[in-house]
This record gives sequence, C-alpha cells and structure tokens, in this order.
Amino acid sequence: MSTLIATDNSNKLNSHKLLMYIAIGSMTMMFAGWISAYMVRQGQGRWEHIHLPSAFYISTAVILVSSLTIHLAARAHKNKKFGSYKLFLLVSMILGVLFLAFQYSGFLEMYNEMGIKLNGNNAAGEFTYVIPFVHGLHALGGVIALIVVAVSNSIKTKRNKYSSTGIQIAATYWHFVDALWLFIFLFLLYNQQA
Amino acid sequence: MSNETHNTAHGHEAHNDHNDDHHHEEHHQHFFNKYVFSMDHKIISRQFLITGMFWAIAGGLMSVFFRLQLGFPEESFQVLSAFLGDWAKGGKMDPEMYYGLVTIHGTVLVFFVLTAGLSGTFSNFLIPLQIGARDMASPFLNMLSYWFFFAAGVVMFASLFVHTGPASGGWTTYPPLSAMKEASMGSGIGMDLWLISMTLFIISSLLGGLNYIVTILNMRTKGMSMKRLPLTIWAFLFTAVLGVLSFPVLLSAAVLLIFDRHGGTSFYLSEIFIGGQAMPNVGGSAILYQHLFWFLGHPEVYIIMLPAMGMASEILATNARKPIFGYFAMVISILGITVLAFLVWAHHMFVTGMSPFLGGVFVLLTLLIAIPSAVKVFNWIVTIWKGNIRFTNGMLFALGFVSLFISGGLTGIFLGNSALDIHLHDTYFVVAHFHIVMGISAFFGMFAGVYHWFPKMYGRFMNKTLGYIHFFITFIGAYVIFWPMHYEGVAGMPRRYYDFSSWQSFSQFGDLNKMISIAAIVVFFAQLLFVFNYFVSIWRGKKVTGEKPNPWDSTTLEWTTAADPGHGNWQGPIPEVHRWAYDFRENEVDGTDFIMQDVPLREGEEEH
Repeated sequence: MSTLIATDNSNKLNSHKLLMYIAIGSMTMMFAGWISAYMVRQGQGRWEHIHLPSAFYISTAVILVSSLTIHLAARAHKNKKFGSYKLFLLVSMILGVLFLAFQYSGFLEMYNEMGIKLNGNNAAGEFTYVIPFVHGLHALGGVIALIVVAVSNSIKTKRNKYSSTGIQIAATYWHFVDALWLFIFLFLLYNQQA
Repeated sequence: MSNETHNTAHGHEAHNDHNDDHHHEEHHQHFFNKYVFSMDHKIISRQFLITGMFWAIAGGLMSVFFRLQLGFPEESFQVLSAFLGDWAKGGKMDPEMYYGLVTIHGTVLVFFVLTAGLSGTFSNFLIPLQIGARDMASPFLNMLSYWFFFAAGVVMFASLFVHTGPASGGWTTYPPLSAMKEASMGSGIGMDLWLISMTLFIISSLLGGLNYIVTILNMRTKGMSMKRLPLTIWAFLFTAVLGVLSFPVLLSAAVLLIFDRHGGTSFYLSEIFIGGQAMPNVGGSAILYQHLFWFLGHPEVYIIMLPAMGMASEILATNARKPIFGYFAMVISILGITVLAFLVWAHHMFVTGMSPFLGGVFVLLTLLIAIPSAVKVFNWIVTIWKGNIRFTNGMLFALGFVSLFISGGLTGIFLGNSALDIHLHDTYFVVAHFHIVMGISAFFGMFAGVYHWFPKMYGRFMNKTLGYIHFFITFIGAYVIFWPMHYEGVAGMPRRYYDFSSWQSFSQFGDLNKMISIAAIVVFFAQLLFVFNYFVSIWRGKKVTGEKPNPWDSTTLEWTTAADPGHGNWQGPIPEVHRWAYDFRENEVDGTDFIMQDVPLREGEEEH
C-alpha cells in the first residue's frame, strides 16, 4: 500500500477504495456471465433439476454472520478500540474458513450422497459445482486479504501509524463476497424448484 | 537526473498542496529497477510499446506466411521451411500450421498489439502527463499489469513450439474445436497454453484498466475539471470502462471452457462424434460460448478503436491549428459508443439460428452505432476544414486513420444487416471490413501517436523522411490489400480456407490473391522501416530543443515539463489548469497561435 501516490483531497474518495469499487463492478460482470450462462443453458432444455446440498444452507448462515463481525471489526478499528477489533477480526477469519469448509462438504455431499457426477450429462449439477467453486476462490481471496490486513495493521500499530483504510477495504470486499453468495444461493434455490 | 533536483522538486515551496505527498524512494536506482521492474508510468508505457512491436512483427510475419500460401498455392518457399521447419516440409505449409498461424495472428494482433500495445502504451504514457499527476494511482499494480502481459506473451510464444502446434480453431476459439482435446492437433496442449495466456492477459488488462479509471477520476491536478480534459483522456477512460466490464465475461467463458476440457463437464458440448466414436457429452451448447465470447468480443473492437480516436482528435486539432470541433459532441459520442458496444454482440451470430425478431433488434442497435461514429467523423473533418494544416508524420497518419475509418465503417452498415449478413458471413468481405476499420485504422492511430509523442518519450524526433515513406507505402498498401477482398467476399469466397485453386468459382481470383500477397509482403517490410526508424531515433534522432520542449506547439500539459522529467513528471509543482485543452487562437502575449492549458485567463477573458 505504500506505493500509492495519494491525493490528500478530503472531498475525493480514497483511490484504493475507488479501485475496490470498480473491481467489484468487474467481478460482478464475471458472475453475471456465469449466471446468464446458467439461464441460457436452462432455456435450451435437457435440464435435470437438482436439490442443493444441506451444507450450503449452513454456509449461508455462516457467511452472513461473518459479514456482521467484519463490520464490527472495521467499526472498532475506526473507533480505536483495538481489543474488540482484534477479536472480531479473528472471529471473521474463522467464520471465513468455516464457510469454505462447509462449501467443500457441500461438494462432497453432492458428489457422494446425491450422486451428481461430472460426466457431461447433467448441466444443472455442473453449474452448481462451478459457480460456488469460483465464488469459493473469491472467498479464499477474502480470507487471505483479512490476514494481510491483520499483519500490516499490527506492523503499523507497532510503528505508531494508524489507518483504517485497509480494514475498510477488506470489509467492503468481504461484504461483496457475502452478498454475491447470498445471490447465488437464492438463485440456485429458486431454480431447483422451477 | 541528480538527487539534488529531485529534492528541490518535491520541496514544500510548492504553492498547491495537491499531490505533494509524493516521495521518491528510488534515489539510487539500479538499471534493473529503473528499466525492468519499473513503477514509472513512462517506462511501463515504453515496455508495453516495445513488447507490442515485437508481437506486431511476429503477427505480421505470420500473415506474410499464410499470404504466401494463399497467393501461391502451387509453389513452395524455402523461407517457410526455414521458419516453420517440419510444419513446412519442402517449403509447403502444412494445413494444420496454416490454421495455427491464422489463429495466433488474430489473437496476438487483437489482444497483444492493438489492446496492450495501443491502450497499454498510450493510457500509461498520457494519462498522468495530460491530467497533471505524478504517476498512476497505484504504480505497483501498473507494474504488475505489464508483467502479467509479458507472462501472457511468453506462454503464447511457447505455444508456437509445442509438437502438436498452437491453438488452431480461429482467434474466437469456438467449441467444439477448442473444447475437445481430440478434435484437432491444435486442440491439445496448444489450446491449453492459449487459455493460460489469455487468462494472464485478462488479469493484466483488468489491473491496467482499474488503474486508468481511478487515476483519471481521482488524480487530476487543480483546475483540471472533466470538461477540460483532452479528448485522449476521455477516450482512455471509456476504453478502460469497456475493458473492466467486458473482459471478466471472457474470463467466465474461458473458465467454463477449461472445465469442459479438463473437468468432464459439457457446458458447450453435445452429441459429438470424433473418428466415428460418439463422445459422452450431451446437452451442452456451443452457441452459449459464442454469446459469452462476443459479449467481450464486440466491446473489444471499441477497446481497440477508442484510443485511436482520442489520439487522432488530439493530433488533428494540433496540426490543423484549430480547436477540435464539437468537443462536447465528441465526449457524448464516445459515451454513446461505449453504451452501444455492450448491446450489439449478437450481430456476430446472425447465422447461428437465432430468432429473426431478436436478429432485428440487434440490427437496429448495431446500425445505431453509425450515429456517434458519423458525429465523430463529421467533427474531425470540420476540425481540419480551412485549418492551417501542418503535414507532420503524426498528422498524416491521423488523416489516414480518418480515411480508413470511413472506408471500413461503411461496409459495417452492410454487415450489420442480418439479411445481407447471411450471404456475407464468413467471407472475405468480413475480413476486409474488420481489417480496415479496426485493424489498419487502429494501427494508423497508433502510428500517429508514436510519431507525435516520440519527442516526449525520448526527447528526440523520429526521422521525417522515413516517416513519409512509411506512411505512403502503408496507406496505399492497406487499400491494395483489403479493397479487392470486398469483391472476393461478395462473390462468396469463404475466409479461413487453405487453398482456393480447386474451386471453379474462386479460382478466378487467383491473380487477385497473388497481388494481395505481394502487397502484404511490401507493407510488412515497410513496417520494418518504421521499427528501424524508431530504434535508431532513440539514440540518433534529432534532439528536441528548449527547456520545456513543445515541438508541435500543442496546448496540453505533457508539454509543460522537461524532455525527460524522470519519475514524478514535474520537477517543480504540478501546473494548475486554467482553460480547456484546445485553445488554438491568436495569443496576444507572444504572437503564437495557441495558448497552453496552464496559462491563466487574462483580464476580461471568458472561458471557452
């Protein structure tokens, strides 16, 4: 982050935050690509409806809670309550890892118990693997980002520098990953009955 | 530059508090940090340009090779076996290699040369200099952007040397050729490398695009309101917006393709037989890939065109010594093109069996693009109308750009009509259309930019005479190569064929094909003249004079700093902007015919 040549205009949005917002727009387009692929493919028929694995329900609850804790962590950092900041950040990271674990067990459930194999003749199943998988990569990126922010903030605190920009950007990203999953989950849920 | 000047450069006597918290960490730079892993946008832009030139030569050479095959299908050439080895035994090109070369020629010219080489070079070079910023918003991401591009190039280059050859299903890589490893030779490891390379390229282009947008929105110097931006910057802004919103969709297409290749899925595959064997994949849709691909593919055309348009506007106004005509209309047309670019992709797919009603909608939206394009052309012509034209090398190429854009744009109206497209689809008419309107004309924009900003890049001029020779051969050659292809296309001659001589209906074009091939070879060598001129001029070119050289009497901020200002761009404070970018009129103060953007308004003077 030190490489940023910052402008100090208070009326302008911080460059890194703006960068994150535009990147979110970009990622949204990528997922819009997959979601519309799902809809186009479904519209062409030869489509076996499948049910979502139960682990996905739990992971949805987990990531929703993690969004709350990351929000509390960012707010605590802003108010310089570093004790509760550290606690909430740690909880968020654990919830993030838990989310990934439940996603993984959801895949295992689909593969072993529900018998959805990737053998080229069940498009609904294929999309239900691929879209949560690529979302999972983004969530993994979010967990890594939280770790990076935690380390860099603790170094900064030791040097008596203070900036809550990093945690705020990481929180923004995490909320995005959360909202994205909620959308994907509801979308898949809606389409399993249709 | 000595450290001393660096220190005074960023001292606190600067009267505007803007951008002054910029600190130099690279006082003692090694060659490696300064020229290789550089974070200076000016160095990065030159890296993009020179890498783009490498790929332009490689891609151009490929076209020379397959033009030899197309023009002289009966003959054999030693040069082919020298370059292609076993792929051209006895000097006769292998058909698999022909498809490979066509594919890689398209890929590298569209993505590596006209995307990275064009907007990578000039967005990087001009954005900070023209808006008055010390560097990009994030120089580190900017550096990463180049190195991802470089890695993409290495992977693509490596794919030329694998034993089954490079990807060979066309630059659009439609499935099933791209999705089944067994489908053709190039569908194997060559296709995997193509996908890896393109993934790296997409990341590079996203990192670059994010940076350009944030820099333009956030880092403008004092007084540089959006309505005072040069049109180049407006063009780069919307180019980046297009890239940031459309490249991710290509990535989603590529990810599904990777799953089809290696994950056992069948998103794009259905009921395919290879060598009499039925493949297990059922229910997939090859058309789905085309939708996703062209959702990028069409905006990509404008990613290529907009920077060329922006630079041509700037160069035409400067060398006609007149303000750009219809500045606001220009900005609105760029915006209109950007919005429409996302709504016309299916005009590439009229013959895929889409509903005629849907086709009709896309015809209408496609033809709407003619409006902003025509507004721009009209404005360029009125800008030079009764101007005091200086025929510099850059100006000639900018004029050539307008000419080619008109010629190629008009045939777009034919192709945009679904009824006509049924006949013209996949013929040489299409080849002629897109080569003129986005290939050659974007190249002309790029050449104009290089000749025009070379003095800013290196503090020297390129050789003018060589520039004129380069222009006339390229300009005439471009029309000689691509004009006849329209006739071939109207006669129904299909693109991508290896040999036309055995068709009664197309063998009549044998002589025409010979002529096209000879012209292509001549034009290729003329480009080597440009490359020679470029590299020799870096060290031997005529020096630009003056402390703050402004060789073209231009108004924009990049000419308010020293020839080679070092990292940070201005040695003193960043100039403040007081007027719009095209104030070409009588300057009562010094008797010239232009007023630079950092000159304060005089008493009683009203802003444009």
